[in-house]
Formats: sequence, C-alpha cells, structure tokens
Amino acid sequence: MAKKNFNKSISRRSFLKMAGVSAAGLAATTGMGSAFAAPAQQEVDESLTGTLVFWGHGDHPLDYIRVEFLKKYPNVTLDWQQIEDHAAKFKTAMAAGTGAPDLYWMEATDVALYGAQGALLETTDMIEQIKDTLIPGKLNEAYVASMGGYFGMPGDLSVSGIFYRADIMEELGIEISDNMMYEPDFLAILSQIAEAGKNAVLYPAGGGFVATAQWSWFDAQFGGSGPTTCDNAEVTINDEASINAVNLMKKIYETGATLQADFWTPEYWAAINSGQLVLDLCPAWARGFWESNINEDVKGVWRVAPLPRAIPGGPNTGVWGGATLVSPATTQNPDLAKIFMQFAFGSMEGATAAGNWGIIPPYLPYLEGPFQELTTDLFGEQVIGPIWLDMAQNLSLDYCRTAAYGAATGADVLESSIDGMIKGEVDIETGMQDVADRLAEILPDYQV
Amino acid sequence: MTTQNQISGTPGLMSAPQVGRRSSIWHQIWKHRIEYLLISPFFIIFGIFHGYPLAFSIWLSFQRWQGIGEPRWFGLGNYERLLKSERIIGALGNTIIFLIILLPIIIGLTLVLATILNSPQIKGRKVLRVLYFLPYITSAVIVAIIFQLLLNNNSGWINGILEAVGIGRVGWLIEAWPARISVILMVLWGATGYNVLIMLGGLQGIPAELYDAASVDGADTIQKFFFVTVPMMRGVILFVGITTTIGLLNLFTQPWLLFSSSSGSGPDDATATLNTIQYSTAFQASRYGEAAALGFIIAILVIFATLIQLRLVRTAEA
Repeated sequence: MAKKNFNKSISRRSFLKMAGVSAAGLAATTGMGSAFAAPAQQEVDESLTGTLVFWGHGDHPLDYIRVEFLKKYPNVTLDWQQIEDHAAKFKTAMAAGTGAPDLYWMEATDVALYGAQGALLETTDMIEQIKDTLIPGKLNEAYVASMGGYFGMPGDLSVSGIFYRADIMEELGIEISDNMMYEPDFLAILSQIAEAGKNAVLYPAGGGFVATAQWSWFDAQFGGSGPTTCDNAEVTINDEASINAVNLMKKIYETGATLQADFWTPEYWAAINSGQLVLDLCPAWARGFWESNINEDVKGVWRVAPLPRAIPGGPNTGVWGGATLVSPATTQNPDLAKIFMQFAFGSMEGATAAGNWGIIPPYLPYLEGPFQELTTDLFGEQVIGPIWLDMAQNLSLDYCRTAAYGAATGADVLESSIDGMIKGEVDIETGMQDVADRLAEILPDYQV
Repeated sequence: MTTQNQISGTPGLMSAPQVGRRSSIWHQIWKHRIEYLLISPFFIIFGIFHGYPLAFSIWLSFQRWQGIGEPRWFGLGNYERLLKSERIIGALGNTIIFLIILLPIIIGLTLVLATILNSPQIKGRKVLRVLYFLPYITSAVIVAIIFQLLLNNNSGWINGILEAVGIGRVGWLIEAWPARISVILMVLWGATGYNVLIMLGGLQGIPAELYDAASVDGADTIQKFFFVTVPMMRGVILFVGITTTIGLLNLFTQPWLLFSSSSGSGPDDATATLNTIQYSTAFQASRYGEAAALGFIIAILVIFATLIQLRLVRTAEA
C-alpha cells in the first residue's frame, strides 16, 4: 500500500505513527466480522532455499503475503526489516550502489526514475508469462518505456472511491449513487452535508499532499496525463484537464463541507468516531488503516462507492499511491526475488493474502474470484469486490506517474502552490502557469 | 637548514626557502612519527566520515543527480535556482522570525530560571532540575503527538480553555501565525531544560565574594542580577546564544512532525525552514545536487550568524 505521491517519506511516517499505535488493532480486527477469503491450499516446496531482505513500513500488506509464502517455501528466509525511515535509507543505499534490500515497495514515480537508469531488476520474462492476468492500468506502472521492459511486479491497485456513512446519509436524505457526476450531483451532496453541520472530504490546512492527491484523481478523470506527458518530455500541469481539476477542488472547498484536520491524525479519527466526518475520498488501501484506527461502533456502517465522474463516460476513479514490488538490479538473489514477486501478486495465495490485508492486488483471477465475495469490518455487509473491480477496469490508461511526478506534485512545486488557488487568493490559470514554469525548470533533472 | 642542492641535487629548480620549508615539515613529521601515529586514528576516521563526505557534497552541489546513474555537471545552476526561489526566501524569513522571537526568550528565560534554581531559598531544586531537563530527553515524536492533541482546532485542550474563558478558538495548526507560534512553543518547551542546566553551571562558577561585595555596596537582588550575574555570565550567554542560533538555523524536527501532511511547511508555508526544504529536496524530490547546495547555503548562514554574535560580544566587551 502507499499513498499520495509516495516517494514522500513523511506520509510513510504518518502511516508508521498510526501503525505503532495500532498494529495489534489491525491483527485483532481482521478476524472480526469480515468474510475474508481463505488462501488456497498450497503444495509445500522444501527445495527452494535462500534469503530475501525486505525494507518497508510497519503494518504492511507484505506481512500477510510473507506468512503464506513461508507456508509454501519453508526453507526460504524472509528477513523483514520494517523501519520508519526506510525510504531515505533505501535511496541512500541505491545512491551508494550497495546495501539495498532484495525487495522494496516502490512508488510508480520512483519505478520510472530508477527503472530508466537500469537500477532495478528487469522482470519482463516473468511478467510476459502472466500479463494477461493483471489489470492493465496497474501493469503500465511497472513498464519503463525508455528501456522497453518491465521492472518489478505490479502490487497495489490504488483505485480510489468514496467512503461514506450510509446511516447518516439516510438520515439526511442523501443518496450516494454509483454513477454520479461531480457537477451537479456531488457538489449538491456536499452542500447538503455542510448545511447539516457535518463534514465531508478532508482538506488539511495548506492543502498538503491530500490536496495534490485530489488533483491527481481529478486530473486523470478530466482526461489529463499527469504533470507531464507520459514520455516525461513536456509539462502538462497547466493543461485544460489540470486547470479543470483545480477548479473542481475549489468548488468542493467552497461548499463549506471540507474537514480541516491533518491527514490521519487523532483529530481526523475523532471526527470519524464522533460522526462529524461522514464522507471522504479515499484510496482502496486506506481501508486497512481505517479499520485499525476507528472505533468498533462506527465499523460496519460505512459504505464505498466509485468516485463521481468529471466528464460523461470518463473514469470513475483515479490513483493515489499504489506501489510496485521491485528488486534492485544489484540483488544477489534475482531468481528468488522474482519467485516471491510472482507469488505475491501473481498467484491466488499471495493475492488473497494481500486482499485480506486491505489492498487490492492486480491479479484478475483473484479479483474475479474470491474478491467478489469479500466483505469487511469497515463496510459491513456490503460486498465490495464488484465495485472495486469495476473501478480498477476504469483506470485511465492515459494518466502516468513519470519520474517527475513525485517532484511535480511534491512540496516545492504543486503542493506549496495549490492552496492559494483553492482559496481564491491566486487566479487558477496564473497559478498553474507559475507551477508549470517551476516544473519546466526542474524537469531536465528527471530526464535521462 | 637543508640546502636545495642537498635535497634535489639539481641546482636552480626550486628556491631554497620552499625546499627548506618542505624538508622541515617532513623532518618534523618523521621526528614525531610515534605521536602522529598515535593520533592518526582520529584523522583517518575524520577523513572518511567527515572530510570525504564534505568534499563529495561540495562536488555534488555543482551537479544534477537523482541519486542514481551518472551525475551531470550543472555548474552554479543549483545555487542559482535556490537563490532565486521564493520558497527559499520564505523559509529564510520563517527562520529569521523564529530566531528573533526565540533567541531572546530562550536566553532570558533560561537565565532567570537558572538564577532561581541556583537560589538556596528554593526548596526541591534537584527535583526541579530533573523536571526542567525531562523535555530535552523526551522523544520528539511523542511530544509532537501531544502538541497536536493540545493544539487541535476542534478538540484540543488549549482551544477548549480559550473558549471557556471567552477568547474563542485559535487555529493553532491551520493558520499561518498561530502555526508559527505552535512551533515556537514546541521548541521552547524542549530547549529550556538543557539551556537552564548550562546557565546553572555558569552561575555556580561565579565567586560568592562578588555578591558579598555587591551587598556591602548596597546592591539589591535586581542590581546584583544585572551588575554581577549578567556580566559574569557573558561567556555562557554567548555559548547559549551561538548554539541556539545554530539550532534554529537548522530547525527541522518540530515543524516536520507538527505539520507532517505538508512536509513541515504548515499553512501558507508558514513553518517551512531551510532544513525541511533540504530534506524534501533530497529524499522526496531526489534532487541531491540541489539539496547539497542548500546545505552549503545553510552552513554559510550559520557561520555568518556566529561571526556576528562574536563581533557583538567583543564590541560590548570593548
């Protein structure tokens, strides 16, 4: 799992803060009230040996996959090192050219950056055998065009939707449809929620990475390609789709419904627990963290729906985070690393374990099979599989998280500029032109 | 002195003083080879872990490098980018605001608290010293979580109290100036205890005779503080001033943890500091050359600020 422009360690830090408080909570909740799929029965293979080192944050979907992998390959050693500053540590090891782990949970923007430099293990041979079983929108993120091959295993489908309190919506007389438009449907719903004195849609002070996540969703939904063209050659952050995305964010903010709290802080969870926050836009991977952090009495009353559409017939979802499992080119265990990758997200056992954790693996046999029956603590009796699968198949194939994506949406470009536009302090077209100029200045840094 | 001919056997190639100096240095090194051998571990370790990284960083600051692949020469491009960046100027402004507000408060408050703790009339001084020092050794992450809870807009205790007394809520974590004040409070809370101990150490080194003489001359407590304590503490105050200035110019942890959603920048970039920007430039945006250049700009600022403080003290002494 991952979130926002996920080469940002701070978000991982946020995750870890929560994970520290609630790792046990997740373990406890996973067995309560959810109809989790049982991993398929596996044949034990004692002939496979070796050691793989993984670095990542605590409370990780690969924890579940690890357990299943070891059932099948008991003589393999999986050295899981879950540390807070794994991102900075990983980048330092990659820069040094030595000391990196065999497995790493990498954001798409870094896959593009490192893959284009030949710093990641090429997995084209493995992917070619199973590519028909993987969701195309996610598979794209492991493909590095300049190298003409795949570098990693598509991991977490970061489709995003609406999480909402079904009971409170009913009280307010609001219907959340699976086929809404932002304008006028969704904006009207937000206004109604605001009038009722409730909050919907998190918008932290200053916007921060939550704001740029919203921009990523909406830009993709308006038909944009992201901050740059998919070949990372030209800046598109000031194109029509991008400006429409910021305009939509401004309209959402102006409904008065947004919750001003920092991302996933105690204040945020308190707003959920008290019934103050009744709707939010969330990536699929958020579910596991929500279940770890919200009170028991508000579990089961939430429901999920696709994002509204920005244009008729356009995508009803977008991406935020969603990592790819990679191995550095320097790994001493390339074959074993590939075996783990394929097990993790290209087998029923691995995909089921990942799904049970809370992320959505890109493996179609699982998504079309056991996932279709999945119910969870958070969403109660709602069978969530069909909704998420529909969204996964709706992912825009024209939207790319290139090597420049992380920096473009990060602190010194879009993230620090967008709040003024949302609050009407800066004209959106002028503001986005400034953002584009800044991005154009640094874009050569991210081009090979 | 060893002559040129004795050294090279080739007259006219080198001037005598140069050869003599070089010869003298090698002679001295050879003469004291055991001593040099004994202290060499420090220089070897310093060279590997400080000298080489410093030299590499200087070189890196003139390159474009994403942490992978071959660095590309960028000349002064990174410095040029940084010096014309409005965000860097804004962060420098934030840092100066923190410095102007916090430096006199930390020096004044810690000196007064240390003077009180040094007074024999105060009971439980040892307990108080421990209490003052505790924040310094408490995990910053835990402190940040507690500050977030206290300063929460909707459910924070501070706003609860302010509302109860009729002042109303303050957007401690969601508005620019209150956000800066939140950072200032967190820094002050953490820095006070350590600096009180430093001040206390200085106070205990002032001879009691000076206070006795001041008493004989009719000085009251306030006069003793300003005409005995403060002048005698000048060196310690300078130390606290310089270390605090360096710490504030490198401010990172408090804004980073309090405003994690915005990489430490806070609302309207009000809490962005040079160090939060440096970290995100390196480890989020993967522009290591630019981050290295920013590191040197920060270093120059620290040196400059320290020199100003030293000059001010010398001027005052003169």
